[in-house]
Order: sequence, then structure tokens, then C-alpha cells
Amino acid sequence: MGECDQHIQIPYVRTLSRSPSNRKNGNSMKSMNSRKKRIGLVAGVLLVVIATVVAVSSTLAVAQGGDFDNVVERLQEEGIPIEAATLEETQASFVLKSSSEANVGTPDDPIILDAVEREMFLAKNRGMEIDTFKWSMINAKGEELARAEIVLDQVMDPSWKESPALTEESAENSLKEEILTDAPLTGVSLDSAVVKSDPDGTRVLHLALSSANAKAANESWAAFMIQVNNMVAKKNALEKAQIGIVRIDLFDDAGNPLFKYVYDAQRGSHSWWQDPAMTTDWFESPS
Amino acid sequence: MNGVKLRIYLVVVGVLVLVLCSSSSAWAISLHAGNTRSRGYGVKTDISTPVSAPYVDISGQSSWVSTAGPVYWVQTGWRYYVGYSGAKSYYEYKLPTGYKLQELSVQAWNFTRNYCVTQLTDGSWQVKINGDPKGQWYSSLLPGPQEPVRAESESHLSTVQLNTQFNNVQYRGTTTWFNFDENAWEIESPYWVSATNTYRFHTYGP
Repeated sequence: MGECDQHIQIPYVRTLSRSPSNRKNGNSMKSMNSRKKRIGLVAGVLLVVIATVVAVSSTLAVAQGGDFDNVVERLQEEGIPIEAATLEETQASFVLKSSSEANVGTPDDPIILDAVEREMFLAKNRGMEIDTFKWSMINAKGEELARAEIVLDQVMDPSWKESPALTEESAENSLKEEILTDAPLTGVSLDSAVVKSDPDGTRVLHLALSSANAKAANESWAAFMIQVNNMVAKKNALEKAQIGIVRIDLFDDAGNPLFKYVYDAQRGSHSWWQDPAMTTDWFESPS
Repeated sequence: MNGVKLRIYLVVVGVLVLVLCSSSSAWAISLHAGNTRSRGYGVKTDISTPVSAPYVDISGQSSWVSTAGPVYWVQTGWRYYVGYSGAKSYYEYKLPTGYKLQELSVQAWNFTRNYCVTQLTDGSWQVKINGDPKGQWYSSLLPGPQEPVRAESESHLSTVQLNTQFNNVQYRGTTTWFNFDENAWEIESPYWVSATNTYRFHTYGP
């Protein structure tokens, strides 16, 4: 405000134009009129600039809020249990509700958290000004399971916007064949391998597997996880399959989940739940 | 004589069956090399990458600082796996809401970054890399400051080559940072630690 007041100076211009001494001198009058015009012009231009800046800022703020609302609405339509969502300045905050009745979440919870964080990442890469993503997950009783505040400083590699060189069908068939041929599957059966695109156009590989139980799956699971991620990375790097997301679900023979996992290759994020009896030998673990 | 041959034959077959049965699980394990401090409000250290890409066979390795858990924990460091173009900084946690592993930027070979996990006044555990906050997490089930903190390398296959320098390995007291001062070494064969002292060491092997 102080800066704007110093530049415009309209009251001073008016005082000059009404001065009796200036009317007695024609040249001085012309000079004064010319100066008055110039100052008036500058003031006008400044007013227009200020008005434009204010208008653009307001439009951006409305657009940002609108985009955020759209993201929240879309997540809710996908079944994400959002209790509350706010965007304050550059901080997006979500309260999410787990269906768990206990102090430990369900197999779906890390997948839910990943879906929301991914949307914030995509929104930031669309231009929404978000620096931090806060989440709190509560259980069905309203008790907090955990909360986090994450710095959103990642940028999507522009190569993800390029068209894939492989069709969905060829990517699906070749990956399925490679997994069946080369990936360790002792104690585990690959029930399906499907490549499809998400509504936002991201290509998703979904692997569904089954095993008698965690002990049987552990025969090969750690090696399988390391190998599958390597296979997908190679398929993307060498054949431009453009698989942005990998989903892996493992169930036991009774239909109980043993492992639910989502890997977002576009932002290097792995989120998962696993049965306590499943191996931890494919990732870093302190004990 | 025939009985002896038969017994030898059965033993050989038995050994072969055992080897075949265990082979798939044997090439994915967790082997650690590093030091632990029995309690701390945080842990930080400078972790270097090897001069060039280490051999990781069909597996991978990492070097990190972490709360010890054992159930829930927060960790940060660098990791390098088969097919990677380079080592990547990461943070990882296990909370009651599940696991998360976030890979970040590449840490060049023969390069050092400072990795830190520290507890904030509200009880959250924060991850910083080279002083930049990456995130903070809270759960009433996360460990308190009485829990151990660790600085270690980890391999998932015994043929993976470890060659990592840890310098200035420190734990946080209530407010001040101190050098690791305990000999609580975690050394799993075929790896070993060459220690200048409890807060400066190099992980090697096999």
C-alpha cells in the first residue's frame, strides 16, 4: 500500500492546476498542463497495472481454490473417505477416515493415503501453489492413527507426458510373459496381469497373485518384489511402456489379503500394507 | 557296500533338495552392518556413496539412519538397487497406517549427504536431508526418545558389495547432539565394519 501511494500522488497534481500564480504565465501554464498530462497518464497506467494485478491474483486464487475443490470432489467420487479438506495459502490438509475400529489401520489405508498424496503432487505439477501436504488418519471411532506433514518439492519428469511406444496390450502381454518366465514365483501364483489407463491417462500395471499363506509366499516374495520393479523400470526405459503406476495384490487361499501395494513411478513412491507374517527382506528395515 | 552307496546317494539327493528349496528365499535377505545408540531424540550422520557403482547382483543395498522400532519407525538414507541409474536419497516409515518409501533425488557416486531423523517438540519424527526438512510423522505408537537409534548399511543379498563411509554419527540428547559413544555394533556376515571410533566407520563386504 505504501508503495502504491508514493507513485500515484494525485492530490499534488490537483493542487498545481488550481494555483493562481500559474495562470499568469502562458508558457508556464503550457508546461504545467503538459506535466499534468504526463503525471495523469502515468497515474492512469499505474492504476490499470494495479487493477490488472489484483484481478489476475484474484482469478488465480479462485482457480486454485476451484482446482482444489475439484480434486477433493474427484477423490470422494473414487471412494476416498475424506472427513475434511482445506487449502490455506500453500498448505493442503486432509482428514481421512479409516474403516479400522482398532489402533492399527486396514490394508486399504496406505493405498488411500497414496491416492491423496498423488493428487496433490499432480495438482502442484498443474500449477497449483502447494508446498506442504498434511494428513491425519482417524479410525472409525474418531481416534487418530497417525498424522504427517510432507514437503511437496517433487517435479514430474516431462518424459512422462510423452506417448508410449507400446500399446497397452503389448505391454501387458510382454510383462506377463517376462514375470512368468523370469520372476521368482515359488509358493505364489500369478492370477492376472493387466495394463490399463487411469482416468487421468496414467498407465497402470495391476498384478493379482495368490498363495497358500504368508509362509509359502515368503519363499520368493522379497526377490519377486525387487525383480518386478526392475522389470517395469526396464520396460519403461528400453521400450517406453510408460507404466506410471504398479499395483500388486496378494491374497491367501482363503481370500484374505497378504499384501497390498502401489508404486508410483512418476514420483518414486512406494506405499503398502503387508500381513505381519510377510517378509521385510525387499526393503529397508531397522530390525 | 550297496547300503553305503545308497546312503551317500540319499544324502546327496537330500542336500540338493534342500539347496533347491532354499535357493529362492536365500537370494533375498536382510543383512546389516553399523552401529546403534541405546537411546536418543534423534540420529544424524554424513553418509557417502562409493566412488563408483557397487555390484548389487540382482538385488540392492542401502545406508541409513533410523529409529529402531521395532514395530514402527522412521528412516532416511540412500538406496541403490539393480537397474537403478544411481543411488537415490529416500525416506521411509512404518506407521499404524502402513508403510511408505519415498525415493528422492540421485546422490552421485563419491558424494556425501547428511541424513537426519529427529524428534520435534510435538512428538513428531522429522526427516531432514542436508538440513532440508522432507516430512514429519506422528503416531502415539511411534517410539519415544528412550528407544535406540541406528546408523547402518543394509544388503539384501550376500553377494551385494558394501563400501560406505559414515562420518560424524551423532545422536541427540534432549537438545544437544553428541557423537555415538557406544560399541553396539551390528555386523552380519559376510559384511564387516572398519571403525575409526564409534562415530566414524566404514561398512565393507563381502
